[in-house]
Formats: sequence, structure tokens, C-alpha cells
Amino acid sequence: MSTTPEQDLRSRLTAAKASPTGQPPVQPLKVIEEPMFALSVQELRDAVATNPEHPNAEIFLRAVNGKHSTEVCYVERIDLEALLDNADVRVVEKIEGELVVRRKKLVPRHKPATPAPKPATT
Amino acid sequence: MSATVGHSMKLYRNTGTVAVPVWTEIANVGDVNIPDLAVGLAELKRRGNNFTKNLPTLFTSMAVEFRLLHGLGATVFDGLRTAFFARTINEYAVMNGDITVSDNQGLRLPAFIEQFPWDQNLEEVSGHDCRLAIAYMEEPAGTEIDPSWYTVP
Repeated sequence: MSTTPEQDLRSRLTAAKASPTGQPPVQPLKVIEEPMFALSVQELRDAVATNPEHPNAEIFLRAVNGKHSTEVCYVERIDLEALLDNADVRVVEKIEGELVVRRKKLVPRHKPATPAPKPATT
Repeated sequence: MSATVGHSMKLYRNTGTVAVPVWTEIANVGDVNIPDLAVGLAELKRRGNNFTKNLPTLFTSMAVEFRLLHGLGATVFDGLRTAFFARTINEYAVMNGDITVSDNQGLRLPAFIEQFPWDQNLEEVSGHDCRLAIAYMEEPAGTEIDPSWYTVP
């Protein structure tokens, strides 16, 4: 089956895109896409109190240390969800055109394996 | 995105970590400018061509300048004053609007307060013409933090 000149040209374009030299250069400035959540310092402290063992808890507490309880602060929504749902956050970077876009993803919390019980000594 | 005036733009400081940021607005500021958002030039001058031309090199050292009014927003002011005297490196976000509103965007960069002069002019509101200079920052150790572009989805 013969191809038309237009199809030939189209296939060459596709091939160029697939080859490494055909890719546009990636910009050095990464793009961070995260929805933010506004809450008062007191609300954040209350959230921390629900799950004080979570890694984000200490970061949140330290960040609002010395601030008035009515002051507004802004956190990335997924970080707060991770605290409330006792989950972990994984950062995913993806090349989209010329941009590296960084987003966060909620994943089940990794719990350290519990050590096997020691046999009772008599 | 549409045309916006500086009055509705926002400046934030991160007191959390890079991975888990906690932003606070620096509300009591007047003009905010990023004057040094530029690319360096490597100049080409040759006998074989009559025109001076350039090749792009590194992005120049970024800085953010803002006028902080003295005596307002005590908590934020105390935080900035402490950060200046402790030479603390924090992240700052220079946004085109509220950081929670969809489609808003801005520059996020690690910086320290390079200048914190205190103006006490007789017939003007007292203030500080602050200057943030981009900083070398690792967090966690071994991971260098570059400037980035924050967009609110």
C-alpha cells in the first residue's frame, strides 16, 4: 500500500518527536501544582492533636510556634489530609512538554515492621 | 489570568519545611518587586561581524524587594526581624494573588533577608525597605533547593 506525500511528511514528524533530538529542552524552573488550604493556627494545632505521631505533626507545630492562635496560615491540602488520614505523601515529578511538573500523591502509610516477639526465657 | 495590580498580589513566607510548607502572609507590605529576574549574557564581539551579540548564560542572582511598614502585624514583623538577625534561610512565595485561589501563581524561592534598613523620616510612615537574596539551601541534607513556580490548580 503506497502512502501519500502528506502521510510521509506526517510520519517523519512523528519520528522526529519520538527521537531524543526531537524533544524540546526541559525548562530548569520546576512547576509545583498543589491546592492550598487556609486555616487558623489553632485549627492546625487541633489537627496535630488528632495524630501527634505523624511526621507532619512536628513540622506543623514548629512552623506555627509563637504565632497567635487566630492567625491564618496556609498548608498544602494533601499534607493536612496525610496527617488526618494517617497517610504518607509521595512526590511525583512528570515532564509535561517543556515543564517538569511536581505534584504530591497520598499513599498508605508505611509502618515499620513490628519485631517478632522474643521467646520467653525461663 | 488577567491584568492585576500589585495591591491584590501577595507575599508569603514558609515557616514549615520545603516538603511540608506552612505559609504565612506578609500582609503589611507596600511595593513588592523582583528586579533581578534576568538571564546573564555572554557577549560576542568579533572582527567578522559588525554587531555585538549575546549568548544566554545563568539566571542572575534573584532578589525580592519590598517595603515593610513598621509597627503593624507584630507576629510577622518579629519573625522577619528574627530571620534577619539570625541570617535564616526561608522559602518565600511571591504570588499574583491569594495562594488558595485556583489559577494563581508565583515565584517560590529560598532566600535570606539581605537588607532590613529602618527608615524613620520625620513626615513619613516608618518602614523597612527589605531585600531578599536568593540563597543556597539544602533540605534534606544533600538535596539542593532551586527556585520553582507555584501554581494553584
